[in-house]
Order: sequence, then C-alpha cells, then structure tokens
Amino acid sequence: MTEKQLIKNLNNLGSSFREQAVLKKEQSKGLENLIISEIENRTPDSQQGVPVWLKLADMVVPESLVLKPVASFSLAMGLFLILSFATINASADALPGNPLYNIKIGAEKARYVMAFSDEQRAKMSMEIAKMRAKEFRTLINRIDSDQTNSNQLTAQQVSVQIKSELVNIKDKLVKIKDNQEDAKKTVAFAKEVDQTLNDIEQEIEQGESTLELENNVKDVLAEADDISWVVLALLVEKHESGEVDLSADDLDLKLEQEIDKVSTGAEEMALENKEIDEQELLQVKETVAEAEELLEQEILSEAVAKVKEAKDFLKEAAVPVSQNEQVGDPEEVVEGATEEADKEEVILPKATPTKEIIIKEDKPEEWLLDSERQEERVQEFEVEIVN
Amino acid sequence: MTIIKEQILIAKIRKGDKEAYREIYKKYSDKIYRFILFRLPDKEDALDATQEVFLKLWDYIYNNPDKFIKNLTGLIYQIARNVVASFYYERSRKQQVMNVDINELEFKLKDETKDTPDENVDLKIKISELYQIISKIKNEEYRQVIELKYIDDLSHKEISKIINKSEGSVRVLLHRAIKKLKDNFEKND
Repeated sequence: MTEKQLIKNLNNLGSSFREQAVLKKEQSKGLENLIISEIENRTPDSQQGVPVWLKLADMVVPESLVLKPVASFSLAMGLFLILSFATINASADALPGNPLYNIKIGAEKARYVMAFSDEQRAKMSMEIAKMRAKEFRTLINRIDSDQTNSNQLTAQQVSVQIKSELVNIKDKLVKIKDNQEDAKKTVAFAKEVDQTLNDIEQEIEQGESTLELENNVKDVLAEADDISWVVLALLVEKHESGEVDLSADDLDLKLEQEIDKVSTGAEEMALENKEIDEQELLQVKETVAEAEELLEQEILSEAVAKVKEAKDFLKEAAVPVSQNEQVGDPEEVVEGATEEADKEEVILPKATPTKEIIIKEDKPEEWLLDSERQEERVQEFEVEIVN
Repeated sequence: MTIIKEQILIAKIRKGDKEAYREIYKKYSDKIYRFILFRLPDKEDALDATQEVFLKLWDYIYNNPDKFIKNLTGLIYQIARNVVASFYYERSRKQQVMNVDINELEFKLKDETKDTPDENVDLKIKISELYQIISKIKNEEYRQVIELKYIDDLSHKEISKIINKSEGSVRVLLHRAIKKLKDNFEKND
C-alpha cells in the first residue's frame, strides 16, 4: 500500500466513523440540560451578575472572523470603541503572562503620558504602584503551587516596578512641595501619598513571601518608609509654619509610628544580623530616645530630623561588615573620595604615573561613617602616595 | 470561535453565566462526544463521560477565577483525555476497545465507492486491518496525532493546541506516524 493510499484509507475510516458517531439533536439537548441543572445544583449562588460591558462586548464580538460587510462607518467605529473599552476593562485583573496584561500596561502608560501636571502624574504613579502591589501579592500566593518558578521570577520583576514607581512618587512629592503655592493642596496630596503607602504596605505584608523574595520585599518597604518620612516632614513643616492648621495629635501619632518603626527595625536587625556593631545599634537607640524626648517637648521639626538621623544610621549600619571590608579597602581611598563621588565604578585620575586607583562602591563603607577614622585613613593614604 | 469571543465567554462563566456555558457546550459537545466515543467501549459510557467532561470544565473555569485560560480547546481535550484515562483506570482495562461498527463501516464504503466490486472487497479488508493496526501503534504520540487528524478530523492548528506543540511539530509528527503506520501495515501483510 502506498502512502497516498494509506492516507485515503485513513480518511475513509475517519469519515465513516464520524457518520456513525453523531450526537443526535434530542440527545445533545438532553445532555445540555442535564449538565446545566447539575451545575445549578453544584453552584446555586453562582449568578453574580454579568457586567454591562461584558454583555455588550459579547453582543458585538463576532463568533468567527467571517463577518458580513459592515454597513456603515459609524457602526464600525462604535464597535471599535466598545471593544477597546471592553478589552481594557477585561485586562484590569490580568497578571503578567496574560496577553491582556500588555494592554493593561499600555493603557496605564497612555494615561500617565496624558497627565498634564506633576500632581496628576504622581496620582497615576500611585495607582500603578498599588496595582503592582496587588499583582505582587497574587503572584507570591501562587508560588507554592508553581513548579516552574515563573511566578517567583515575575514577582521579583513586579517588586522592582513597585520600587521604581515609589521613587517616582517621591520625586513628584518633593517637586510639588517646592513648587505648589497652595499649602492646603500640598498637604492634601501628601496625605493621599500616605494613604497609598499604607495600602501598598498592607498588600505586600499580607502576601506569603518566600525566602528568595525577602530582599525584594525589604527594598520596597524601605522605599515606602523613606517616602513616609518625607510626608511626615512636609506635614510638620506646613503645620509649624502656620500655613495649614493640622491636628497636633495626628502629627504626634504619625511621629510616634515613625519612631516605633525605627526602634522595631533596630531590634530586628540586632536579632537577624550578628555582624552589626553593638555600639552602632546603641547609637540608633540613643537617637530614637532623643527623638522621643523632643516629641514629648512638642519640638516636632527637630524630632522629625532625629528620626531621619536614626533611620539613616540604621540603613548604613545594615550593610554587613564583611561586605564593607570587601569593597572598602582603606588603602585605595584618595582624597576627595566621598560617597557621592563613587556611585558606580569610578576611575580616578592617576595619583602616580604608574598607579591607577579603582574604587568600587555600591554601598556606603562602614568605616566611612566615622569621620575621624575616615580622615585618618585618607591621611595615611596620602602619605603612601607621596612615598 | 475567535479568541476574544472565547475570553468573553470565560469571563461571563466566571460570573456564573450559564447561558455563556451553553455556548461553549454547543461549540464543543459533538467533537468531544466523538473523541470519547472512539476511545470508550459503548455509547452509554461515552455519553456519561461527555457529561463528566463538561461538568469538570465548568468547575475548572468557575472555581479558578484568577487562572488565565489561554487555550480552551486544549483544556477541553485534556479534560476529555483524563476522563477516558480514569475510565480505564477504574475498570482496570489494559487495552482500549474502539467503538466502530465494522460491518456498517464496510457497508458504507461499498455504497460510496465507484470502483469495481473486486477492488471494493480489497478495500474493505484493508480498512479493517488499518483499524486494528492504528489501535496497536505503541507510540502514544503517533497514535494520538493519527486519531486526532483522521478520526476526529481536526486541523493541524487544532491538534497543535491539544497536544501543546507547534503546527510545524504536528506536521512532522504526523508524517512520521504515517510512515510508522505504513511499516506496520506492510509487516502485517
């Protein structure tokens, strides 16, 4: 038998079978009703109400691509608008990996570009950050059942996006603070930012994060914490200048919360990271105590500044000692090498004709924190260069 | 059915819309019944199994509102395959028994063919042999593509969705399956 003959026979076999294997109309209808009534028994409260846009979309979307010629341009335009609206709505709950997700991101970008003021853009960024936080939570809650690890990787990417939106919000907040003449509007906006931060923190903390995502979660929360302080400083500034009359109790409460956060952060760090100098932690605690004292004396702006000092100290102390030793060889530091100068890999001008000095810095060195020690080491190094 | 239409129906089903589910049923019921009938011993079993497939499909769509169903066709056939497999597992049957009435099949071929009576008899014999040989193909993928293509009459695109391979891979697989079938047929001779 040739291949052609074989295929012909296979086709014959198939078509004959299909002619026999027909579900009769009444059989099919009976089966359909049986299935639907079984579904109703299983899920009696299932009818939640189909949204209008979904009904509209269902009516206008064709069953197949073989369409009858569309009678008029207006009908086509109407169809296009309903479809766009329906598709964007349908994409609202889409997660990364879903084709509708790109539509969702596109719609967000379009709305961001069309925003005409810093405030509008900041509001868009807040909305986007909240959305990403929600996605992050959904993704991490699915990690357990995911064998391909893709949800974890996507969650990591989403967390980076949340952080980037938070940075965006912070920039806009600072801009608005500097440029907005109406203090009431600035304060209202700062409160909105504060509420958004709370929402984001809640979403992130409610998800069951994994060990691999721990750093991502910490990064996002640290960024939110930074903005939270900016909001507090702004509110205190406007309150003390008398531009806006804010409730002193509310401000006290917020300040107390910030102080609590730093204290808890210091305690957690002491438990988690044994490499942290006890003296440094003691210093954080002392600064926190000073902030508390200032708060009791109602010297809010100074209390806020102390909180910031404690936060910054804590952030710097969090860099493990071993990492500092690795990147911060004191032998390689030249005069003028400050944190600001070395954001990335910096090649400094040659100090001697034969020696090129490279400083790699991505985190502040531990010894840079102590200005006296820093000066000593710079002097030592200068002597070495001269020699 | 277009992808957008399918996604809209899925969204409606997730809101509990049974009418939307009827549309899905109407679109797939014949194909799924045929798919199952070819793989189960009798029509009663096939009807029960078809019902089970559609109930399982509803449960899957309705109870997993966050899961994106990219390929509904693939999902339905996957559920149908699982139902068939569990049928045999439950009954501990090692070999599938195909449900085709060979006599009726031969009769129809006799009616349709325009060849001479002698040639017709030859063809009948070869068809029934072919029928047996397909069921004995050891390679699961080969047997699956042959059945999906010639028995279930699905396009390469539809098969690719069901077996989760590209259309190109389906063509290659089908070509190799035919070659294997031809070898088996010749060995049988």
